[in-house]
Amino acid sequence: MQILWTPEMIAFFLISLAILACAVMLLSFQKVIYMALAIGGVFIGCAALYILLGAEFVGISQVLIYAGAITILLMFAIMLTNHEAVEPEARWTVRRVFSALGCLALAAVLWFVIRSVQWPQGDAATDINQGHPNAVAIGLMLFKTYTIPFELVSLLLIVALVGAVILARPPKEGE
Amino acid sequence: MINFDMLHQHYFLTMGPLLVVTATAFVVMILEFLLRRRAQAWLTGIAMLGVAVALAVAIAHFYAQPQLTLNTMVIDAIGSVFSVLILITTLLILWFTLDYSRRHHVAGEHTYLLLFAVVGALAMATAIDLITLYVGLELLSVASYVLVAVRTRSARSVEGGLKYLLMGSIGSAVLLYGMTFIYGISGYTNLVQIGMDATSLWASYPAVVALSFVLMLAGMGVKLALVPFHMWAPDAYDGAPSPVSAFLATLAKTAAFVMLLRVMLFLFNAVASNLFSWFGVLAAVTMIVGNLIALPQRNMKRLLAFSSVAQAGYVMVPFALFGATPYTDWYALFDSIAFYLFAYTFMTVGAFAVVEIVSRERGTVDADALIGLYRRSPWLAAALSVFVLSLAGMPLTAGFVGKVYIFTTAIHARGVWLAVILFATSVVSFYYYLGWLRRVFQRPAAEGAPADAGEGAAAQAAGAAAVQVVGAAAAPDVAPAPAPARQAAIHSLIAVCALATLVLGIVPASLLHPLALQRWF
Repeated sequence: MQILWTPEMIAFFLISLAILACAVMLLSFQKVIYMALAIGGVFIGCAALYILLGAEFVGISQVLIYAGAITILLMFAIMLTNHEAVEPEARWTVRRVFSALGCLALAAVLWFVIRSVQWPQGDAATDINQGHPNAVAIGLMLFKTYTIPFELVSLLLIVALVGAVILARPPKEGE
Repeated sequence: MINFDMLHQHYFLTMGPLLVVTATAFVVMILEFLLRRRAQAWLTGIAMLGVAVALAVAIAHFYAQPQLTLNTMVIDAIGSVFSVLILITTLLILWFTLDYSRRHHVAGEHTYLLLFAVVGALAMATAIDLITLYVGLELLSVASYVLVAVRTRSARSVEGGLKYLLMGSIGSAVLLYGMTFIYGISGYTNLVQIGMDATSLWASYPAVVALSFVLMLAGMGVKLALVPFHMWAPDAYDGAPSPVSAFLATLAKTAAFVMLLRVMLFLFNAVASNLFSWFGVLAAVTMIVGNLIALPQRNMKRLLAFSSVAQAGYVMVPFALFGATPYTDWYALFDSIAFYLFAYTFMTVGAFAVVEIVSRERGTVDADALIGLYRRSPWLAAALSVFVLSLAGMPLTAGFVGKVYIFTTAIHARGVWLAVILFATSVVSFYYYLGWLRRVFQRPAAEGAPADAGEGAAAQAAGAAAVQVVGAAAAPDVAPAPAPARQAAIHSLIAVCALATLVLGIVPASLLHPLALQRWF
C-alpha cells in the first residue's frame, strides 16, 4: 500500500517520531525526575495526534489532564520523596537479549500485518458528529450510548482513590 | 432498532445483582467511615446480606428471556449462570473474611473493595460491549491489586501486589490493543453488531482479525494465569491474605473465563472457527507445565496457585472445541465449562480455608505443617482429603464428574489429543495432591505437649475436637487464641464447601439439571 505524502501524513510521522523518542528516553534515563519529564513529552505528543485526527476536545483535555495535572503531580511526588533516586546502569543479560528478540519478533508481526492490509478509507464527506460540535457529540455518546460504562468508570475511580490511600498511608501503631 | 429511551429499559432484569452489590458496597463504605473501630465483623455481615439479596435476584431471573439494556447489558444464559456462580463465590469469600478478620488485622477497606471487585466481575459476565467489558475487567483488576498488596507491612504482600499490578497492566494493555483492531475495522464496540458483520470482516481483513484474536487471547491469558503468562500467580497468591488468594483463584478466574467465552463466541465463532485451535495449544501447555511445575512445590499456598494454573488448563479444553463442534452440540461445552467452574470454586475455597487453619496453627505454610493433621483433627483431615481428592479427580467428588464431562465432550468433538493430555496430566497431579494426603495421615516424628492435647481432643466428636485443638494452638504472629465458638465461621465454611463438593460428585444432576433447562443460545 502506497503512502501518500500529504501535509497531515508528514505531521503524523513527525509527531509519532517525537512520541517514540520521548518513550525511549523515558526508559533509558537514569534519574527519576527526567523520566517524569519524558512522560510529559509522550502525553503532549498524543494530544497533538488527537488534534491532528480532528478530535480537538480530546486533545485539549489530554493536555489539561495528562500533560498538565498528572505530570505535575508526578513531579511533586518525586520532589517530595526520593528525587535523588537513580536507576542502576542497564546491562545486557541473556534474559534481556531474549526479551529484545521477542519484542523484535512482535514488532515484525505487527509491521507485516499492518502493511499488508488494505485499511478502510475514511470518507471526508460523512460527518461522524452528526452536525454537533465535537464536545456535544462526546457528551451524547457518554450519556446515551455509553452510560453504563461511564457509571462503572466512576466506581473504578473510587477504587483507585481508596486503593492509593490505603497503600500510601503510613501504617498505624499496633498493626 | 436499538432502544435508547433511558426510562424504558429493563434495568433491574439485566443489572439487578450488579445494582444491589453496588448499593451494598456504598453502604459498607459509608458505615466504615462512621464506625471506624471493631466493626469489621458487622461490615462483613452487612456485605454478606447484600450479596445474598443479589443472589436471590439473580436466581429469580435465572430463566429470564434474553433482554438488552441500552444495548450494553444483557440477560441471557451465560450471564445468569455465571452471575449466580460469582455471587455464591462472593458469599464464600466474605464468610472466609469473617473468620480471617477476627485474628489478623484487616484493613477496614477490605470488605468494600471486595464488593467493588464483584461489581466488575458481574459486569464482565453480563456486558456485551467491548468498552463495558474492559471497564468491568479493570474494576476487578484494580481492586484485586490493592487487595493483594493491602498488608503494606509485609514485604511478600507488597511484592506479590506489585508483580500482579505490572503483569496485569500489561495483560490489560495487550487485550485493549487487540480490541482496537476489531474496532478499527468494524467501527463498533458492541459485540452483537460486530458479530453481524463478522463474516465480511473476516473476508476483507483476515490478518487483522487473526492478530486481534491472538492479542486478546494473550491479554486474557495473563488475567487467567495460563501458562506462558502465569508468572505472577504464585507470588500474588502467596503474598495475599488467604481470603484474597481464594478470591483470585476462583472469582477472578470465573469472571475472566466468562468474558473470554462471550467475546470469543460473539466475535470469532461464525467465521474464524479454525482460530479456536489456539485455545487447544494454550490448554495443553497450561495443563502440562502447570502440573509439572507444581511437583517440587512445598509451600502450600504456592502449590494451590500452581494447581489453579493447571485447573484453568482443564477449563480451557472445551474452549478449544467450539470451532470443531456443530452449534447443536454446544450446550455440552457450555455445561462442562460451567460445571467445572462450580466444582472448582467449592474445592478451591475449601482447600484455602483448611490451609489457612493449618498454617495459622503451625505458624508456617510449608507442607510439613500438615504432618499429623489426622491425629490433631480428624474432621479437618477428612475435609482436606475431600478437597484434595476432588482437585485430583477421584470418583465420588465434584472434580471427577467435571473432568469426566470435559473428557467425554473432548472425545465427542474429536479433540482426542486434548483428552489424552487431560488424562495424563491428571495422573501426574495425583503425585503432589497425594503428597499432601500422605503427610496428613503420617505419624509425627516427635510429639510434644500439643500432640497430646490433640489426642485427647480426637476422642471427642470431630467438629468439637477441631475447634478446641485449633483454638488451643495459636501461631506466634497471631492475636490471642479466640474462644472455641469463634472458630464456628471457618469450620462451617469448610463444611459447606465439602458438602457441595460431595453433593456435586455424587448427585451431579443437582447442578446439571438446572443447566440443562437453560437455553444457551
